[in-house]
Amino acid sequence: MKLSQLASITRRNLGRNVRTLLVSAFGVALGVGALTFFLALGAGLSVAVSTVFPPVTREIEVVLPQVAVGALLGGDRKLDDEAVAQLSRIRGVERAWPKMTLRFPALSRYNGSFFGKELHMGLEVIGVGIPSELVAADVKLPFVDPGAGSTKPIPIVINRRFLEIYNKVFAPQRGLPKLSESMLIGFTFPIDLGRSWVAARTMPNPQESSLQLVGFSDLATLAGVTMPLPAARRLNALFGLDSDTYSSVLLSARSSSEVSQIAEKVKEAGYDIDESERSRALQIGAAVRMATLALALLAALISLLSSVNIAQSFFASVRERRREIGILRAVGATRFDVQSLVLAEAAATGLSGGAVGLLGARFIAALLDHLARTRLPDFPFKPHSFFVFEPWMFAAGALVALCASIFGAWVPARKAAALDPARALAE
Amino acid sequence: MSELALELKGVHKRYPVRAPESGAGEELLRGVELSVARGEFIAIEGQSGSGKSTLLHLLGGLDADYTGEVRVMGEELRALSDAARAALRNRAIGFVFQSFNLLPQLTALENVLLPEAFCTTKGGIPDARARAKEALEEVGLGGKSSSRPGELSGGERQRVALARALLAAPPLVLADEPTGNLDARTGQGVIELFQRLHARGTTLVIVTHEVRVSRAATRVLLLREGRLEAPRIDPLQTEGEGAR
Ligand SMILES: Nc1ncnc2c1ncn2[C@@H]1O[C@H](COP(=O)(O)OP(=O)(O)OP(=O)(O)O)[C@@H](O)[C@H]1O
Ligand SMILES: [Mg+2]
Repeated sequence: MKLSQLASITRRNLGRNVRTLLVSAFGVALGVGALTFFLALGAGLSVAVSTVFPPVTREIEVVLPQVAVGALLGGDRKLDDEAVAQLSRIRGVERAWPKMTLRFPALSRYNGSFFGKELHMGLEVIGVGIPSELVAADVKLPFVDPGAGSTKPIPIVINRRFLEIYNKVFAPQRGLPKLSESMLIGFTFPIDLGRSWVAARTMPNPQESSLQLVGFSDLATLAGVTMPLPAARRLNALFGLDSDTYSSVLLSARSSSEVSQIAEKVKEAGYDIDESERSRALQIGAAVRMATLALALLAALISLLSSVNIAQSFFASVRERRREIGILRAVGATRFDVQSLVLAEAAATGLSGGAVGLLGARFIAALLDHLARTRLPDFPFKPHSFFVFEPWMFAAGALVALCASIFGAWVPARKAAALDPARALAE
Repeated sequence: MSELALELKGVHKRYPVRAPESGAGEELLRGVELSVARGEFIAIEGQSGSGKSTLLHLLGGLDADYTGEVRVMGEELRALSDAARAALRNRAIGFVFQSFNLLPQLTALENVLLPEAFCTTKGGIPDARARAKEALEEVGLGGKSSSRPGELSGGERQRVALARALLAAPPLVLADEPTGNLDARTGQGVIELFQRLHARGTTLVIVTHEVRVSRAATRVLLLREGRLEAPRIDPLQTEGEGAR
């Protein structure tokens, strides 16, 4: 049978049972619409999650084990220069970056004008020192320790996510101005080193100093301020604390594919890996994927039900059209032609349902995004859109629509093909 | 090529019983013998329920569930594949059924064109559209080509089916009471059409109750008790006797 004739006869048949076919198409539209909607939502949320927790793909943070098995066995593992050298020799490691936390308390008390507002605030500050090169790309002013005796402030970088949280949560609640990165660069504030709100922790010889913000970086600690490693070393020494061993070592892998193998070697060497950052990104990413998968399965189930629906209506339609099928056979249709006609009809029904579903999903997503933009309050990392529609999703939707309809109509089509034309015409 | 358009030898046909407990169904055709030369015009008569439609479906290759031998244009039907039988129906046979003939969603013209959709020969039926219109003219329905079957009378529908049977200019035309729904004048037009086809060399097998049709035929056969026989009463002489 010629394709154009198939299309023409199919079109006429479709025009006849509009109502039943609409019901069938609606089922497919629902399934396919839900499927693309959830896939796009999953993709959109993944993007949102990765802006909140940028996936650390090439970095591994090495720490000492919480319960040092080595120590129990008499071994004495330390993260000193030798350990750093050893770690940097692991295959696949591009570079090892030692980090040292400030081992004494520090307090920042701010009294005065803060971008046009009066601000009185005191905060315990946690500090960590890192090699300057690690954030070289992110700093706008020199990131070097001014040295003992200098009155110049100590340069610091802070994590980019702080600013987002400050702008979306902190500032609005307290009536403080919203700030941009460029406004804050160069901002200097005082710090009392060795002092704590907890009186017992205050050191005997607290020092007054100041910090100057010189940049924002994703590699800066989330827990406080990040300063040049020599500054941390010098200040720890100043308070007579350990200034030789590091609190952690950041390993950069040459490529992300080597990360897991490096991690294994690190553990073999008796160290632990701080996975809080990485695993948070991974866990949330996995949660989003799981939820997407579950919803996609639900959509697949709806599609399956729509195929049952299609099967039902095509059984009815074939039964109703027995004599017509007999006529087709009499004028030269083969069994295969008859089967093709029924399947073509189903495919057309499914595809039009699918198209409606895809458009519907796109429309509802746009509507929800619009509501989110206009009705939801601003919150940190609020995405511009919760959905990402990709061409493959539309292709998948169309494919599911096609499969659901063909699958549903398969048995009715076989039945139509197997029909005895003489008997059908004798009825 | 066979000289015979149709050849039936010892054809038996039994319908599977609808209610199994009533035993094996009665045999409807009990050894039908028939030889139809090319170009013959055969009229088949018989009582209602005698199996005329059943026989016509067999001749048309629509039913392969029989014992014996049925050769259409020299081909034993059961030896053909489904596709080959479909092609034979498409090219060699024009069918007019007793009651239901047309697809309700298609116009008269589209119904007439239907064989073209399933024509597997290269290029299809030449000038199919023009010929379809011609065929509709020939059955007196030139003005109804865009009507749907629902808008046509029973007789008109049957004439559309007749036009369709002529589309591919098949060598064999099978018709099941084609004049049953027609008034005398229109019926006469159809009979004249059969005569023209006969003159062109088309083989015709017409199931009929009408003496006028039988009179136009070159041979009349009676289906009785499962067999074909020559009628005892010559229909040419006793008008009205041939009817039921
Ligand atoms: N598919 C079938 N299954 C069982 N019995 C059938 C079937 N088709 C027809 N019959 C029976 O076979 C017999 C002959 O039917 P057929 O239609 O061939 O008769 P006919 O000679 O064409 O009658 P009419 O002149 O009324 O059209 C009838 O008794 C009918 O009930
Ligand atoms: Mg009959």
